[in-house]
Amino acid sequence: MNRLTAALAAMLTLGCALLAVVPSAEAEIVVTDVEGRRVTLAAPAQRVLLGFYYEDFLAIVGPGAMDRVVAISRAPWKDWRPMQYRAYAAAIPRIEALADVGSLDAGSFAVEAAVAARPDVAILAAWQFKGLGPAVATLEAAGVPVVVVDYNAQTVERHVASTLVIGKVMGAEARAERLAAAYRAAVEDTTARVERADGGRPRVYVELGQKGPAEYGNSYGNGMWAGVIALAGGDNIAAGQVASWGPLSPEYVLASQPEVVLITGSEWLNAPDGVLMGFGIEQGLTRERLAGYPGRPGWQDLPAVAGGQVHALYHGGTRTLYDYVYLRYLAKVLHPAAFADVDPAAELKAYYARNLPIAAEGTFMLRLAARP
Amino acid sequence: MSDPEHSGLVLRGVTVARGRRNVVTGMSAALVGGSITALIGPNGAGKSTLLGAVAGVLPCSGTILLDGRPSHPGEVAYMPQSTAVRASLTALEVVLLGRLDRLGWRVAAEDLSQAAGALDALGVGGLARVRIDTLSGGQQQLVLLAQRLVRRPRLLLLDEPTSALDLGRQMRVLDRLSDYARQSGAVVVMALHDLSLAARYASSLLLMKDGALVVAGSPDAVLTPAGIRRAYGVEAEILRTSHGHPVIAPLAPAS
Amino acid sequence: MTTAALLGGYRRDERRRAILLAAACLLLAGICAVDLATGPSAMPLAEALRALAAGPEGADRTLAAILWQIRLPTTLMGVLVGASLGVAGLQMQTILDNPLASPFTLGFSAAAGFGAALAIMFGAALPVAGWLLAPAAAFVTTLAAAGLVYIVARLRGSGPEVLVLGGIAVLFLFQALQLLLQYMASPEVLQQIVFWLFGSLLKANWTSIAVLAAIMAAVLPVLARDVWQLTALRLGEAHARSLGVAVTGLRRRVLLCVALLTAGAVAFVGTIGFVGLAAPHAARALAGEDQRVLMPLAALVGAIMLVGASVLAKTLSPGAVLPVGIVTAIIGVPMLFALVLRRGAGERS
Repeated sequence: MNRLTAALAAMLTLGCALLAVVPSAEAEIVVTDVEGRRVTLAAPAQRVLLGFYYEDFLAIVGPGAMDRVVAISRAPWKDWRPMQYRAYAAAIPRIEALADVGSLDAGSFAVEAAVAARPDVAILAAWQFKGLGPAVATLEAAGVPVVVVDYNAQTVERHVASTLVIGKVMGAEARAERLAAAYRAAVEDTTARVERADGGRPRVYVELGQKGPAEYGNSYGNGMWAGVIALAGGDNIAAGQVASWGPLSPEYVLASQPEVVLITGSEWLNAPDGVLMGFGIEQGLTRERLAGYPGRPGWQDLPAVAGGQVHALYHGGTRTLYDYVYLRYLAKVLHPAAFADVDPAAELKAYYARNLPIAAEGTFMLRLAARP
Repeated sequence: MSDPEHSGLVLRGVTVARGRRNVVTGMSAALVGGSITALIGPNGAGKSTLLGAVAGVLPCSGTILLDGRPSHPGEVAYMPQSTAVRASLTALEVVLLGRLDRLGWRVAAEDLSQAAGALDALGVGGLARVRIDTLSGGQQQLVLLAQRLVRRPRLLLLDEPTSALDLGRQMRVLDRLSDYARQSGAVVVMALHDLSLAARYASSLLLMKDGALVVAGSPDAVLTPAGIRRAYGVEAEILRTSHGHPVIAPLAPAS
Repeated sequence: MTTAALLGGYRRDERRRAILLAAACLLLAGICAVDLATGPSAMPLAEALRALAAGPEGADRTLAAILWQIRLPTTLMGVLVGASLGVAGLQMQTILDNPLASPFTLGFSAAAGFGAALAIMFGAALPVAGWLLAPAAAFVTTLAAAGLVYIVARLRGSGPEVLVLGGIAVLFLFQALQLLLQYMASPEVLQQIVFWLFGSLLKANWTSIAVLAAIMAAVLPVLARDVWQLTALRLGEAHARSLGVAVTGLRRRVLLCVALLTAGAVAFVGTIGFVGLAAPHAARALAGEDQRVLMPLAALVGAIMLVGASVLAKTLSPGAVLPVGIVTAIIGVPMLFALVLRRGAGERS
């Protein structure tokens, strides 16, 4: 045999080998989720049980995302962010028709409902995975692989990893890469600007504004808003005082003399004094509820109040792919000069316009004007 | 103001029910003041129940009149059969409580000396500052008796007041009770098991059996061998001491 | 012992007890001072005193706010709640004839928790301010529980066994209802409810102080009038009746007083345990059973316990709020142990 024939034979063998390999690569997906678990799927999932992170799922998978969802845990969406839920349900009516598997944190998880929906995969938050305990094994035994993602940790690594995992599971790697890269870039840009800024580390007090000014709500020492404050270059007065979350002593808040006060609000239906904000909430209402806080005993002399640095932030603004918007808002508050050209509200609107089926209509970040 | 015609305790048709059973049925008697009346009879005759009813602790039907009218709580003192006290009050404090109605924020010297005197009279003055829950059963009985006496009741009802006492203290207590009855003219009714004591100290006896009055009268009239045989089913002999007091000596169960 | 000697001894005891009460008052004043001087602002004592003296409208507004709006209400509330719980616990032990009784034995705390949970979950529906609604609801449900026990007492006699059994039934009823609400609640609301149950003096404000003080001013004289009757009740029902004490009426009256005191104490600060159980025992160990001294002393010991717990809570966790109910448990348990051991030793000797 001459050299040409040998080369052709080699190419043919290689071609066959490739042909043999490629179809199987398309046929099977192996994913390592954020908890390090290896999960194998036959194909990109077409029937999903979605436990949490609804907006991120929608952003990553893109149009038609909900058509591939057969069951959700409705309570964390409908009860915790009612107006947000309503807005999405209006845009995607299918959401209302999805099976509800119960609340995974209250121990009312309905394994039967979950399995009856015949999902290809269950995508759960890390806290749900932990909360389910042995029920996870039950799901897997019933033929439902469980994939864990985690945005609650509020770290860039976990955000990126979770995004890529969802992308891989759903066969939407391109969008996932784009979103992850955008997130990383935004956070890196923010931290770079913070480093360049020379305004020191202003003292920040964050409080969940659900109970209204009469009672001191939870502050965050670790995770969630604490992480955001740390990244934004602020000095969180709750750090070291509260393990993860809990109320601070009113006297401690006064003694710490915070220079920036953040009250986080949501669309609660049962909070007559709480700071309401979010989808469909008028700015005036938020301002009205926020206005009570400077009236707390001793607050009129706080640097934050005197300096007009009392803000309201949407409590749903952490643990999601667009939480960099809130990070940048806070960073801009703390270091105005370094972020002069950054418009977080516009960035939020742009994110929604590009990635999500609804518009960000409502109040999400607001500053209470200093009293004249 | 005691009406001589109506003075004393009058019972008419007193019936006391416990559950669906009548423990005391149609008890009628007239008891005079100034001396001890003993209530005797076998177990289950209804003696404790009758005392409880007269004291107002147990509900009953029938009429109970003291000096011709219903009694009021201030003039009645009742000592139930066995009630151990768990409070950590001192004996003096316990006796002071006998003057409950008259005590104010400050205890008057008058009340204190009355209480101390009552303890002394029963021979337990030395226990005045001892906590009652550390006393023996007999000592507790004495302290509680002192408490009842300090009230100076018009009607004193005692259920086996000497059950836990030794020979000497029994006599002392009964002497004191006789004195009290005589000096105050109170009606003193006492349930007793010891027939000899009853015969010696009581001026009249009420013999009960199966919830009804069998016979009432002086000790000599009631405590006859025939009566004892009928009531207790025991053959007994009535002896006399050198002081003339009757002593009931059981011989053998009746055939 | 002669009567004169007995008199002398008794008068000496009376004097000793009066001194004991005075000493307790001084101790309370002292611990209040410590409480007023303790806090995360770490201001020196002299500064704290100056801010106190300057009054609520003092020049340094922050210091004035700290002292007059935060520290002083907390301390005063500690005194009032501790005293209420001490007296309520003492009288609960008296009418139930049970040394293990506390103000919460008959289900009052479970009822209060249920009321507060109701208010927290559904309060938005009513046009009442949130901070007022939870205490009002807790107050109402506590009285409802007392009412239920009272009805049982009227129907079946007010003996201790009946009261305890009725109370246990009420306790389980409200506990079950409370659990139901907790099950229905979202996590944030659930956390609120649980935090309310822990009990915290930081919820105190001048309005709640005024209300609780008014309740105490109304109830304590009623109890004071029955001082001797309650002492007599310690002898047992049979002996008390024989002394002419109207035991049934007394028990019912005292039950209502205890319910009011407990409702007032719990409604504003949540359920603070152990004070109502341990304070009466400590007072009894010091002063005996005479209620003329025992009741005020139980109040004082309760107040000292609670204010002391508040100081400890502030010391252990200056920044975050450590619910004082946890601290009262921490100091209450060794206290009870000490009392039990002491009592056991006394009986054996």
